[in-house]
Amino acid sequence: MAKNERQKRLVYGLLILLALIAPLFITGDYPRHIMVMCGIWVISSMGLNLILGYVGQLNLAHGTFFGIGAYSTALLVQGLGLSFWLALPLGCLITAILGFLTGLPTLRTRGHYFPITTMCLGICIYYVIARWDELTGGARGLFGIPRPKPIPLPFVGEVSFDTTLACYYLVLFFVFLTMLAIFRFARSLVGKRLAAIRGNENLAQSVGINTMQDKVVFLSISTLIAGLAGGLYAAYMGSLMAEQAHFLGSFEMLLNVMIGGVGTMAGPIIGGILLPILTEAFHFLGGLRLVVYGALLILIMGFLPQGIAGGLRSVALHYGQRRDGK
Amino acid sequence: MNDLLLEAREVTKNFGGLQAINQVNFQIRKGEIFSVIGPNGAGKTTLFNLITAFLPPTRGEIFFKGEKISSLKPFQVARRSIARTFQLTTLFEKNTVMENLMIGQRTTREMGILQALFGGPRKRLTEKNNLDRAHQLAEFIGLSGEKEIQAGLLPQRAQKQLSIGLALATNPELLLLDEPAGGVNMEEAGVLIDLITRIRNSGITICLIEHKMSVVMNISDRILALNYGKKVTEGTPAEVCRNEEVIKSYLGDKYASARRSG
Repeated sequence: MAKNERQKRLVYGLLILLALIAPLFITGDYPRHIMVMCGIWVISSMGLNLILGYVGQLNLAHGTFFGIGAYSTALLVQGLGLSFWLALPLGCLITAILGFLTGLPTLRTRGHYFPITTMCLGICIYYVIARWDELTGGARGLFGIPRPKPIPLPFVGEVSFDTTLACYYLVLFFVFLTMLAIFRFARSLVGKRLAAIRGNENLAQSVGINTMQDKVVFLSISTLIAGLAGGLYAAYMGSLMAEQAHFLGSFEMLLNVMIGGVGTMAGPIIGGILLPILTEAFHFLGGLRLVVYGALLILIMGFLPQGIAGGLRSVALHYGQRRDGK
Repeated sequence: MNDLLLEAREVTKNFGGLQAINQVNFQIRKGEIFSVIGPNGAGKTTLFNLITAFLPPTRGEIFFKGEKISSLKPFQVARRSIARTFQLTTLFEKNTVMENLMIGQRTTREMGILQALFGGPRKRLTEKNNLDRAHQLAEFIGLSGEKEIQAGLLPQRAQKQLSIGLALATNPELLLLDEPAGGVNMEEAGVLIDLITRIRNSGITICLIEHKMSVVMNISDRILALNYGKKVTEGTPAEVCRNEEVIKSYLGDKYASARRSG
């Protein structure tokens, strides 16, 4: 077990290093833009994986919370003139509070009712955003959202976020932060508690676990992460359309998580990087792209029910056992 | 009456027109093995669900150490140190034996979000103690060789042992066991009876639902007999198996005559 653990850490260390030095090799502005988008999707997908993979609740309003985070941050900056560095945490907080309020009634349901009610909620909120012209600009959207203000750092001098490269490192910072937080949850006794809730709620209650409280808290944290991704998206893109809060966004994130591997650390990272790249690669297909995704999802669910991450894990296990055995 | 642990007063539970439990009174005393017997549908499991608050009583009240528990939620009852197993053996099937035994412990349910995120040495100590206790429990229930096996893949007897271990992990004062020896053969039942006896000897009060009369009569201190949701009688094994109504409704004449001649 210990050896396994060390190897795993080594792999993660190398991947982090790779992410840090990747811009040395990828110099074009367009590929770097894709890298920023991947980072944003990875954050949001990790948030969805937290509630779906670890707590076992499929929140189909996750994409909507991404939109709420994006609009809150953008409006705090544009409407109230707040600094991005204050608007982002406030935007996350607003999203988390709405996530909390959503959870109180909806998480009382069991089985398929939670996905159904959250999907309905997502559709409702989308229309509120798309029609509320005075606040959100309605169908026209929001434009001219400023990039984050430069931050002074010791030794390095002032860091500004005018370039795609700077935005990449900003997003990467939050990717690492989110990863670290989820890693800490998953490895602690809290992670065991979530496994219990996911496994059997009644049994979890019979050993004294307050399942409702944990579900609500982790839905709030998960929506907070969605809001974080949304806020970064708003500041990076500089404009927002109501489409960003469309409920279909939830399904895109769900696709990331399922293809990557539900309930695994690496799953949303793999899916969040792979799908945006595939989207670009299949751009020429237009709407048919979704057919390709559908086929991909069916193949993955059929042959790798734990996603790519689960597949990699069983390959590693197989390889490890063979080497240990002989 | 200092040794009174649990008391049910006039407890009634209706499902629509069906009276599953009808004005039942009983008391469980500290340190004893208290068994509930009766034919299928007599209301035994319903009684467990009422005690652990998985069902609210229609009328009547249940007290644990003088506190009314019949209006609490299941997790709150568990936190007052009442643990239970389920008739259809229920485990965290996708988790290993060790993980099951870790989940059941108080420290798992008490660890806060912030401690999980930022915790230092104290968190590590808590987790180490939790792990140590899980090892001890695995030893105690006799699954020390199966620690890393996924619970759902264990054979029936081992699952029964683990379900008791999971309940024990909560450190209960009162342990409710719903057919701990159901669905296993007599030889395997012996392992479970031994385990139950060792639990009682460690000072935990046990309330037991069981159909195997050889088990019930040998290890129980007192027995409550139910039929159609009503209390038939309550007393020592010797008293209960002499009761005419118990013989008629549950044990059968054969059992009674075998008992008399043996």
